[in-house]
Amino acid sequence: MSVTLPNFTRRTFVRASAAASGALVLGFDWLAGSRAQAAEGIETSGNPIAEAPEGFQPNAYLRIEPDGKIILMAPNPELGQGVKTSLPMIVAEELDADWSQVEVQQAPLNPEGFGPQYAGGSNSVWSNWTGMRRAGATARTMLVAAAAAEWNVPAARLKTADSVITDPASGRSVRYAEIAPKVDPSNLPSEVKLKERDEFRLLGKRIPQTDNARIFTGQPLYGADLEAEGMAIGTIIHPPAFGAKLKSFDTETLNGVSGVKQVFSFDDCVVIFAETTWEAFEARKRLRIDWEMPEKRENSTQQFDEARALLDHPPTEVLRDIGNVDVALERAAHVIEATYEVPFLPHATLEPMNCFADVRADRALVRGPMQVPAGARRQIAKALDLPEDKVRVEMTRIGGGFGRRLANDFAYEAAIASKIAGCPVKLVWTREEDMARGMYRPAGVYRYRAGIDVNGNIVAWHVQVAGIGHPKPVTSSNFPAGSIPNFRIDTRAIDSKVTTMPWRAPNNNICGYLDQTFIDYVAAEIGKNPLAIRRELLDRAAANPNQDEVDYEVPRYRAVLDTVAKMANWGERKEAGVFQGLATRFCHRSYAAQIAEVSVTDDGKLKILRVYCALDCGLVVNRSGAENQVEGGIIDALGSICFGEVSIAESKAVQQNFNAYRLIRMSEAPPEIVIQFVETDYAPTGLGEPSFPPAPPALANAILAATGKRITRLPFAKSGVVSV
Amino acid sequence: MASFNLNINGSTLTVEAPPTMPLLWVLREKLHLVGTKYGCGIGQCGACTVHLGGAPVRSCVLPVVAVGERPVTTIEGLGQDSLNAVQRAWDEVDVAQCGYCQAGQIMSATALLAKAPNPSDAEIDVAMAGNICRCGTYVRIRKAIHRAAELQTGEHTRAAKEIPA
Repeated sequence: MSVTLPNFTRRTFVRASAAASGALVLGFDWLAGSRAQAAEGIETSGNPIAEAPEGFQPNAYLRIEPDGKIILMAPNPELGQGVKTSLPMIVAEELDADWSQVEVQQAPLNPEGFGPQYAGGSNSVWSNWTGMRRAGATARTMLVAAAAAEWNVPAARLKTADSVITDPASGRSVRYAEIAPKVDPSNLPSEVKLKERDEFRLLGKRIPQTDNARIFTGQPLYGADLEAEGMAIGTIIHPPAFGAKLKSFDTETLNGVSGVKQVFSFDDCVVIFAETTWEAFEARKRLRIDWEMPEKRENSTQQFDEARALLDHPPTEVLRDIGNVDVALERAAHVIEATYEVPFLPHATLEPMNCFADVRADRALVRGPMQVPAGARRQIAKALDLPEDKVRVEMTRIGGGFGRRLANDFAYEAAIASKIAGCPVKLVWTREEDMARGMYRPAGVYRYRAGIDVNGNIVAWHVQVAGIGHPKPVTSSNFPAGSIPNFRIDTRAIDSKVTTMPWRAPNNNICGYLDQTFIDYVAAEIGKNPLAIRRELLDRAAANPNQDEVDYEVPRYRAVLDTVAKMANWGERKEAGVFQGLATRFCHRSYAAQIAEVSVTDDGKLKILRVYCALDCGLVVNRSGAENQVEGGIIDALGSICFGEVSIAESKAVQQNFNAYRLIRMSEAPPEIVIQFVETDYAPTGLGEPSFPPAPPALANAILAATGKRITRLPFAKSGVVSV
Repeated sequence: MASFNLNINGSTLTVEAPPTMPLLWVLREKLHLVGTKYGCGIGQCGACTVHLGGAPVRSCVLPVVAVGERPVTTIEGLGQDSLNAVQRAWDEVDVAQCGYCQAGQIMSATALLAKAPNPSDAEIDVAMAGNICRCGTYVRIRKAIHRAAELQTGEHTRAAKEIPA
């Protein structure tokens, strides 16, 4: 691939200035590169970098210091997906920087300077890819131009590596830091040439996370670790039941409770400030609060019964309707059916919701673990009636997101509490508040029906969805859509006050399970090999009888399927008592295929032996980080499918802490995960989510192979299958 | 409110705190040692793990009054001059994702390796059973514990060789 991109568009701004210190500082409009790719652009109005004074430029993405140190800004929130390492690596690659001299800093929110600064949809690397490459290449080009002028030689013959420019013809060399003061800031390259893939020296390597030392020595990195002069410390109490409202609270019940300083309410919430967070937590237990409970009390059994009954009613929306499913099912030689029950899941980030806010009359500072800091700024500016540019938002390292921190409720609440208290505040939620508050992965009932013709081909596929509260917790353009001539997905929902939100690999996290286990039910019924049936379906998708649009590309899908089959010697395992299960999924622009191997002991106990994963995420940026994402996604997925459930009783969450909500532990995780990246020339695509969806169905399909058991009531623990 | 003399990371520190206040919050908010994390408050997740007299304990359920004179070690007290073998192995294996649980994981692993210098997988399972990693870095945690065992053995061997005959 050869990429030469013009460096200027109407909105582009590249600027260099030789700072008084001799540092080379470059500001860059990230959007120039990422706009073409980004699904939704951000309108820029004015450029703070352009208006910044000469010299010091806090939003500059790159600084070369006189001592050779290179400071790179990490623009996006880091929540464990590794972008505080992988994004700066992209700049460093094109800059030809000496990585050992790079220092990475978290950038504050400044979308005008940095482009889309959010962590969601596995988009961080994908949306910043071109912009960050060009950022590095622009700096490199300017440094080379300065050296060429100094030596009076053509720039084209100079080489760069490890922050050094060399002239092979004369043998001269100069370090970036030495030449930086001589860069002519007005000499902006009109075009920069990006590297060919075979010129990459850093990308694709294993680079340890840049925060490792800080994490492993316990440095203050997270929102809850923040301290500030005059800060009030507290916690917040939300309505304990979905649909409940605050009536009153009795502060006399806090008489004699240690450390309590202030109690007030807003928005049906009660805030308690105390000497310490723990004293606020203790006061939370003691404070008597009268809540107006919802008239209709919800519970899980009733929710699932209602949803199941609703499946027989007409849908509120038909999401995909190809051919004629009704007729095809009626004429089919054989119809296979399964109905699945899917529970709510909390995100259960290990760092509970928390945020710091310092709201003054004319401005505000909000600092905390936000996945979408621009959304927080918008929401808080509106609530405080301040212009957005008076609200400064800074991102801390995030102790897990999984989608929960796409909402900014916790940041908004901190801002309001600071305004009321008239001082800087830090609000930390208890684990119980965090888990019982809702915002769950949607629950629902899903009925699958497949029609098989006399030749054993799937001719009809009908998915009927009944969400609980959420109107369409389902994907509609993913495999096997496109491979079956009569295909319908329709949806409806029962009313519920339980709140839902995107949860890691939204909808894919469950539809992957449903689609991929159902394919195996069909395969088992008609006596087909699970690999063969998927290959057949992909062949049919390639021919695509309806020419309808699907999200995935068949060749890439087929490649991961074939690769994982080879990795695991599919169908050739000879050990007694070892069974394999296969599953695939496309999501977040990446392709994953997995094979789980389980053993069944004489007393009927199942054990996961290992998981194989083939994954196409385009180019691999940081091999260590990439493998970590795949391993973590698989383990999270297996834990969630085995144990994960929030059930509802009397409109309250039954599971409120880790004694009742079971997360997977060390001994339960597969001891071995074998990963192979199917590397392609595509730009890097999603990694935080795509390894998740195939793992649960791969495990279920292995259990199906071992025991013949279909698991349609989730989690597995509820179906009497203790698998790990 | 009462006064306690605590032996934390080798120093004696005096704090004023309610006797039932868990050690976790004394560390975090009285002593500003924030490496020890709050995750559940009921001793289930292990993010708050510290050493008490060398043994791993969940500091979120340990009242400060119960600490007594036993020495407390927190993540900040490990490898104060340079990273210890467990911390180095954690970096080498690049264990962390979000990192929030890792201080607790490292404290549990360090205590295990002090007791069992070359632990089996089964011993690792038992020692680490109290520490949840929500990101699912368990494969790497196990690998890093084995690697730390190697690093530690290397250090001991070197130390033994340096003793003059």
